[in-house]
Amino acid sequence: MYAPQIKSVRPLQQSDKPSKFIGDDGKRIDGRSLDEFRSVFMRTGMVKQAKGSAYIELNNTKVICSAYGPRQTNNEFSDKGMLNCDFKIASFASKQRRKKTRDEDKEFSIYMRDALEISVNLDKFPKSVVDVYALVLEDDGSALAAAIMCGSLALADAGIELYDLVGACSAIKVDSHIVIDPSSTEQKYGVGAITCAHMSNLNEITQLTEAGDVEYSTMVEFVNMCVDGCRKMSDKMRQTLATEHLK
Amino acid sequence: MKLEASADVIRKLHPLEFYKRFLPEGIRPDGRNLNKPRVTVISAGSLTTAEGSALVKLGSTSAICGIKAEVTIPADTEPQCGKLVLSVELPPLCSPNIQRWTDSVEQNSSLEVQIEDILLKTNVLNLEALCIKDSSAVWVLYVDVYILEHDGNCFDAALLSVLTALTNVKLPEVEVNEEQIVSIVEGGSTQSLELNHYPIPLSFCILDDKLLVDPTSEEEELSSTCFTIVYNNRGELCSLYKPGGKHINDDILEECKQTTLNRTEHIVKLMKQANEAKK
Amino acid sequence: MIKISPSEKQFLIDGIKQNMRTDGRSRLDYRAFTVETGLVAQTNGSARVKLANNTDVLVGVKVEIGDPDPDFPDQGRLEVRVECSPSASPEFEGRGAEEMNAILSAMLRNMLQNARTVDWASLCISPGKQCWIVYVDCLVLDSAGNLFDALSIATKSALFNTKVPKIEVMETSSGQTEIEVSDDPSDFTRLSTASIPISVTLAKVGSRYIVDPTIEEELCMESRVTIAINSKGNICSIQKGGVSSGINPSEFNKMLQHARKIGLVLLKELDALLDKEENNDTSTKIGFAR
Repeated sequence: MYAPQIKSVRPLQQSDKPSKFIGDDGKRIDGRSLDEFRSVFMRTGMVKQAKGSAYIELNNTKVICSAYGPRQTNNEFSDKGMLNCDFKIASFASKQRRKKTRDEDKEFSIYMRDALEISVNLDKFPKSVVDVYALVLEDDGSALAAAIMCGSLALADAGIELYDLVGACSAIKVDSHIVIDPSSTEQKYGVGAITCAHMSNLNEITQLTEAGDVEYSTMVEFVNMCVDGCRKMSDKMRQTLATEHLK
Repeated sequence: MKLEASADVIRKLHPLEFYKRFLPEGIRPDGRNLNKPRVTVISAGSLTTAEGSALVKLGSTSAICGIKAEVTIPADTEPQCGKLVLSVELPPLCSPNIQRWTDSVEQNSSLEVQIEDILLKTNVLNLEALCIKDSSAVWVLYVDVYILEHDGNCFDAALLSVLTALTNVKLPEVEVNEEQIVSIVEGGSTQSLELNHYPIPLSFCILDDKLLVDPTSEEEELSSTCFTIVYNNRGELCSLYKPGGKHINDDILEECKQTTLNRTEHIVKLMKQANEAKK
Repeated sequence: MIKISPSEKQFLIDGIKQNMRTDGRSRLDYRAFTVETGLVAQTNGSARVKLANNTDVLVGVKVEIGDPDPDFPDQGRLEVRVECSPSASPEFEGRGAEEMNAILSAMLRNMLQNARTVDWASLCISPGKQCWIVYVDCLVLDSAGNLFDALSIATKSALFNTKVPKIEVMETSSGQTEIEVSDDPSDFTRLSTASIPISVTLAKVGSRYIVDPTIEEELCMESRVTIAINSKGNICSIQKGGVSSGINPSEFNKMLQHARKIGLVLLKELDALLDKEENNDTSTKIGFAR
């Protein structure tokens, strides 16, 4: 029997690799300089049903997050509270439709918990759990960083006692330049994707993941740029909380 | 110790009693009259990665729908028909009652079945319009709805978001070459979908023998029955869904039908405005 | 879950402070490890690594022809799965292993695919249609700490041992492509494994950090940093874990430096071991009896 051979239309979008990521004027494709964030929008209190919630936009990257708890757990007794994080990317969030369950979501949930748990005063709610759920509505790069910040804002909005807010920032190397807050195209073709979460008042890195073959000196630069980026973001988060809660 | 309790405490401990103080006065705790739906906000096209998208808010209940289009081979039995795959998710972030993704599986599938029945059985969308080449290539639309906040009546929010997203869909112009490979025409035009009619839902509940329009989650929980009526913009009844609960009499049903009919025009207008605002 | 008493914990922490660990190592000493390759006949490549005779992992690599990732149609694909056997530790019973499996496979995926340390383009057969899929299946048989490094060493060794069958792509008269796999078992190609990294795990205990923690030390650690180093001395992936303490950025730089130094030494050691394994006659293998 003759079976028609149909290929998805998607492979055509392969041509999305630009010939140059950094223009002659030192600007990126979207007109940003190397260490410039995209336009950031933050809000808290989006989900009224939740104890606390937040929404973050890094241009087209959109993440919504809500925090519930502390609620009781069925786990064995623990004199410290627990933080549970769930990170999920919506099926329509990227150019390629995503399958419902993916390994990546579980991996990122763990990264998110590691990034946030250090900032939470767990001694304040023994034998209970705080749940933080993040849903990425659109992923145009740096989704994990956005989710970490969104989660930190949601925890603050929920009135959970925190040692510090957690800022987060991604960076990547394209055309032998390091750029921060990469878009999805930069993220796809760049080398050395790093995501760093940092508490600026305590000057501690809470979470750091990197993948990509880079030199030691580049890595040092990566970390420094990310920590700077995290500082900028946590200032912004503080401002957001101040304006939203003094309204 | 003072034994006075604030309104919030009474609301938590004796919710039904709390409502019984309001309803006879013809008003609800959120300030609405009994027959008034919440403020409905519809926006379209906010997701750039989806071929069509919409966000619908009914008060604080909100649903986001994204539609992704892909090319596939049609079923042998319907060589000219495209496909529509619908999924509705109530993620744990939307409500304190859902703690895991698996907690809402039943609710999800019940919403999916209801919405799919309305879309396909009342012929909202011509699946033939999704045909690219007879018996070799058709579009498949993946319609995914996520409820971002569940404060009651998520069916209405979900259905409205699906309809708005469908009207917002822009399919790229494609061509099929001799090797049966489908590719996007560069610089080609985009094609919108024509909906045959707009089925507009409205849900009701009976609480303490009073009829409430567009219930919140608190009202849904306390109610003796909930039901949904769907009329389209041509004034035809598309669906009537009352899954168990206390009986209702004909007078109430007639009243509800009229309320639903009166609402259709307003909602269709909102949808069109949302789509035009994006253009 | 394995638990240790508070006084035992204090003993370990104090020892580390004085640069003397319970097994006699100093803070930056690595345990001795053994590598055996080609143990599982049904795989294209396999390796078993033991760290100090206690941490025991087995990695099997299979290659199959399949569809490429639509995002990268001109590259081969990688599938990593890690399974922590309940026999390795009571911690891995029931759902307990799930999180460990997820972070271990994430680390290997980052090291191999996201870091692009394997030439994935060479595993493409026909762009957008057919490519080699490399399945890396890891089994943790026994755990005495530092599964991360043991798995990374075993994965590199298994990939080094992997034989990819030679294939021939032919075009039929109707324009369809057909793939013929050579049926001669000695007709194979090797993967280029020179730039595949291995990881070095540093654990922060108190205000100090140690390398290659044992399972008891893992119970005292506040945070863990796993850093992957390749033979050029480049850093290929980093994964931080542990939820009770953050790391100061300047301290982090120091950790990077140490990991790099240790990683390069380990890599040299591993390369020598692998060469020896490769030149050994297979009939002399002792395998699991060792």
